[in-house]
Amino acid sequence: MSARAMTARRPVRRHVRRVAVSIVIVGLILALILGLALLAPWIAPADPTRQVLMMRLKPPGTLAANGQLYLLGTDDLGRDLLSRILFGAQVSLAVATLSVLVSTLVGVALGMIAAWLRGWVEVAIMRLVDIMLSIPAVLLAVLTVAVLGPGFFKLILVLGLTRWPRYTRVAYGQTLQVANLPYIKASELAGAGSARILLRHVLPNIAGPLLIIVTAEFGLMILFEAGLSFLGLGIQPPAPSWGSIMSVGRQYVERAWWIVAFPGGCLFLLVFSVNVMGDWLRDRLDPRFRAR
Amino acid sequence: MSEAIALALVVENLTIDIDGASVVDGVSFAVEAGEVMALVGESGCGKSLTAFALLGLLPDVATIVEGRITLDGLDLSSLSEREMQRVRGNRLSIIFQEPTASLDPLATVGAQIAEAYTVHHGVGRSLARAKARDMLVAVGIPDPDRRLTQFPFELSGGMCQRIMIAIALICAPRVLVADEPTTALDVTIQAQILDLMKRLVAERGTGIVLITHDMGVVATIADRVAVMYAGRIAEIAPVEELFARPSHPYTALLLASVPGRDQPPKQPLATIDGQVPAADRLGEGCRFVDRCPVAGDRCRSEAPPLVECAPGHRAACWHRDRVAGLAGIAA
Repeated sequence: MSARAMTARRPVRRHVRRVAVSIVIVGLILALILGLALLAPWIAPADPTRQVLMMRLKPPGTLAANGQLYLLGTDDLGRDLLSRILFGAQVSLAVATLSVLVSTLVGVALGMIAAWLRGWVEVAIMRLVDIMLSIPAVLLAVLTVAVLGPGFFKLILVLGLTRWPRYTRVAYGQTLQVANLPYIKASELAGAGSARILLRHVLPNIAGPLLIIVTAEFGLMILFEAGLSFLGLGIQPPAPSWGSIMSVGRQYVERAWWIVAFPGGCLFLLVFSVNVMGDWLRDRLDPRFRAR
Repeated sequence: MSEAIALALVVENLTIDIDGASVVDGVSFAVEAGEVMALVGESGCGKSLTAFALLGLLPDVATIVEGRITLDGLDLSSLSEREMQRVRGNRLSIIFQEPTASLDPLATVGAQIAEAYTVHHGVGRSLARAKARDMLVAVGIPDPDRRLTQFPFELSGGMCQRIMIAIALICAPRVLVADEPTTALDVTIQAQILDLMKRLVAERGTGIVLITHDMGVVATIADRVAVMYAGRIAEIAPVEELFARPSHPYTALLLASVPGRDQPPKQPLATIDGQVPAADRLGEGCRFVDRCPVAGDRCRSEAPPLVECAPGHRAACWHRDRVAGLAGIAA
């Protein structure tokens, strides 16, 4: 009987680790934000771009004559703030997700290639990384937007193509380490080609540290998008984005605090949750923090 | 195929230099189909380097300056890296001494066994998987269906080595290079793995080049033995012949240093005095001369050639007649 239990498949998974309450809460917040963003078209009380000039700068909880409730108030053009924040969440999450995806693809590919091929390829890629990392990220992003112009896809491209060097550094270091392990040599000796070895054997084994970078960057990308939109370099009006809503609200802070406060609060909650989640992942995955 | 002895692998006059020093010098040997050929020697004698040269994977500092390696009539030295990739794991395989480290920790056993087959035969997953299952059965792993889905950390060292053998043999190679395949395993498992290897090569007609420093392993599994010293073959002979009539002083002393059952307790074990000469201080003569108890003047000035002293038995020593006495010292 006990012998049967001993040979049960993947016994490690049976040890369910205790997860801290804070992680559960943060996870719920993330799930909530994601859910609300995805459901925005169905749950938003109004069209986020519909202007009702009669209802400009109304405070939270205002009930309109036609019976519509403005739960979070309205902005300077009489648009429903709750609807704008819900649709804005879509933009924030989409931009962050896609730009992280682009920079991960570019960065990890370059890092693995540099470490695998060595020689002049390695020198070229890693010096380029050094150069990119020595330029302030915001400056680089602003400059690129200035050249390409603003817009949803351009924003993703800008963020993706300026943020890859961090992934490259980590992927490079990890690949160097893994490439010298016997099992990589073994699959080389079994006749597997470079592409196959990198994708099938190296990538899964360096995924842990990369995941940590991904979460840290995800939080940063949300802030970047908001920042660039705030500066007018990101999402263009009338499309809602947390950054652009706050940018408009800035002019009315004294009269209508809610325009800045609600998207700002959402931004804080989202980035905070992502970062806490990222820290927790790092503790779980980074061997240096695992010794306890 | 004819019934005549088929030579699976022929190594002729292989010479490998590192920084101008010949760390492997004029090594020649052949492996027949289904035969276990052992390369024996101490650390740094060039046996592992020879193995890596066979697979075309020498470290960058080492270069083949001379010699020919022929696998089943195919001259490996003439192949491009791409062509060599098709040979590796297909017609020529290798297994290492660290089975657990040689398996990808994040891929299932089944996927790893199937990989070699997929890479070389370009077949679909289900066929490769069926083939992998057959191999698991062949290497004596019970409950193959469950094992296929397991990860290396769920298996013991001996089982991992069986998996490595399955990976190495799935494409039915002509020659299997085994680099100290049992060093990391405990003795009972060692015997099982050696038995398994011997059985599989006999069934499949695969030749084995066995790299080892363990005379016990040699006695268990090898058909023929080449004793290497400082990059040269000192003696090469069928295994019984070598153990019965060592004809090179190094072989004789090596055999004498293996502790036996009749060794009186608390007696110091027999050793060979001195050390292997550094690669940059190799002289003109015999490389064993400084440690050799029977060396004469000629040994310092002139390297002895490998000379046949019995059918299939060749030794490189000027004073073979004095070697018999050495075995007496040890006994």
